Amino acid sequence: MSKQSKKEEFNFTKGYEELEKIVTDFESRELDLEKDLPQFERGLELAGKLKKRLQEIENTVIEIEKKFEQE
Amino acid sequence: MNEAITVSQFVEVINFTLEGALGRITVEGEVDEFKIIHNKWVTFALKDAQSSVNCFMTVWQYKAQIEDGMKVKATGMPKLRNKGFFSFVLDSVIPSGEGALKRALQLLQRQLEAEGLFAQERKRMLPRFPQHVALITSRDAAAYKDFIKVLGGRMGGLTVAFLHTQVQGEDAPRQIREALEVANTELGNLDAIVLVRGGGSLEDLMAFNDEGVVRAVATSRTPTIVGIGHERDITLAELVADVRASTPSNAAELLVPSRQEVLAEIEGMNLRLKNGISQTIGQIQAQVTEAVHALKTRIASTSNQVMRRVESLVGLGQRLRFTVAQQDKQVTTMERVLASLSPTNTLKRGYSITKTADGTLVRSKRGIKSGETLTSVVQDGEITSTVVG
Repeated sequence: MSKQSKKEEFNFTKGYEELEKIVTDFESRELDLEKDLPQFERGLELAGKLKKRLQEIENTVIEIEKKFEQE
Repeated sequence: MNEAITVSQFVEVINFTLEGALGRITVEGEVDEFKIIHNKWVTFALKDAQSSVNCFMTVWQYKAQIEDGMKVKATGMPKLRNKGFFSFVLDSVIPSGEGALKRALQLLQRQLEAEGLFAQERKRMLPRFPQHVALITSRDAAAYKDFIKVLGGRMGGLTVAFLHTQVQGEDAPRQIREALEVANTELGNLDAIVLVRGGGSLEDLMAFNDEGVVRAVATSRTPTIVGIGHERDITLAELVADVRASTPSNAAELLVPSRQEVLAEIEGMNLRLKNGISQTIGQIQAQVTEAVHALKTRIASTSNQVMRRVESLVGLGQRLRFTVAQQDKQVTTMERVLASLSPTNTLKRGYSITKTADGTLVRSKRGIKSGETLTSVVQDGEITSTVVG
């Protein structure tokens, strides 16, 4: 249950896209150290979380109990 | 003597007897005079070298692609119609043999293609990082094990809802269709539906060429990835899928990126992020260094100016001292000249100064009378004398 809620807290796709956006934004303009520092920290945090998620090696297979075969 | 029965009763008795004697029966033969009437009924003759039987079925039961000359397996019940002619009423007709299967497949493919079901623009993108997927295959098939095994070596963290169905045989198409329906309606928001099966003969793979299955894949609300058979096998279900995988293992590879690949991408972005900030910090450092340097230069140049001023003042002082010394020298010379010109020195050389009694200097003999007293100043005193002539 706790694993499930943890997964919901951090969506890998959204995290990855947000990181991509920050990197692209940073590379497209001059940076203002003071103003952009929070975004930089956010990027580092996202990269850390994404890497942590990659350590979760297990896939979960749930068999759906549904009989398609005719009795 | 038997009692006479009505014609209707006669037909009924014959049909009852035929049903009891034969039941549902499958007959293999070649199709001739195939017709679809008013888009409601299908009729054709099923024949071999010697015999021919009229066949009848409704369009909704007709699920294959049949044409004249094709070998089929027709299943149904023989029936005497009210008008007195005999008909084989079918509930199923399927192409029989490799040649017929291929031909039927070809015909269905042509039809679906004409409907645009294989069009590239229909294909949807699968999410890059799926989290919830449904897997439809047989739990006993190698395809299941292959898919799960390859998936295990990929990114991880995926939830797979597995729906077990037959993947070959007469009932497989219905089971697969129902599983697709369940996945689309009962399993919540899925990122993809995966349909896989290992290799086999064309007949083994026919469930994935079944029109119903193919249409169910094509109309699936959830994006589909289908990998059937070996690389060389292509089924229609794969052609209508959003993503076609060549094998079940390939389906796992296409579905989920490899962990190393994603890790490298994240590391790369991390680095790019840090580079951006380091570059900015570097620029600021350079600016600070430059400003400090400019300040130092400015201070140095100011102190240089002061030094030059001091030096020039020192020079001025020296010049002044020199001038004064020069002046001193001139004064001394002049003093010496003056000294040499003083009357005392002249007197020393033997000259004298003569004055009259009233002190007037005698510069000429004029005005000097005989008997007048004059006083002469010499070096060491005065001599008073009287003029005699």
